[in-house]
Amino acid sequence: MYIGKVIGDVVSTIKYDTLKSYKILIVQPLNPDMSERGQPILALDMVDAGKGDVVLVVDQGTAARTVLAMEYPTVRTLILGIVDRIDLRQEASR
Amino acid sequence: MHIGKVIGTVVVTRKIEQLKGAKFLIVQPLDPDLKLAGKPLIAIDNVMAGPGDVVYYVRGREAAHTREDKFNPADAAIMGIVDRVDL
Repeated sequence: MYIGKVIGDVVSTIKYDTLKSYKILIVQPLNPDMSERGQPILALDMVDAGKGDVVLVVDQGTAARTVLAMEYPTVRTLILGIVDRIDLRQEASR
Repeated sequence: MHIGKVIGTVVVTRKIEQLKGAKFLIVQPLDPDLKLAGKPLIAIDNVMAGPGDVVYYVRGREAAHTREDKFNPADAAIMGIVDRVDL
């Protein structure tokens, strides 16, 4: 899991059946010190997050399977929670 | 499993049901000689670790198996606190 910031959303009318009813958000992955890390990624929203929220993200196929309760999910990146606070005690590598 | 150091905590009040009660820690991966090795990640804690502790953690599906309800999306879990590494 990692943290990221919601920087936008994707509106899509025509989509694959298994993605129906889910909101697709654009997440910029972050380091614990809130600096950006890597490229933005599209994630399914499980917690009604919105633009500007710092969120907890998982990027693993089997994880998506447990949350979506689907045997064959077609997505691997999910927003699991909204981060209230990060307490960083020591310098991290980026 | 991998060695890492707990460098912080993440508070996540609104989250999916399957992770209710989970404690989230920020782990900085380390080499066996305790040098920084890669990007920090968020792991669930099973051993009451805290910031400053050197720990070992498991990644992947097995991380979810540390919770009572195995059907959860955790992909990293702290499995123990390191007392000493002998190389």
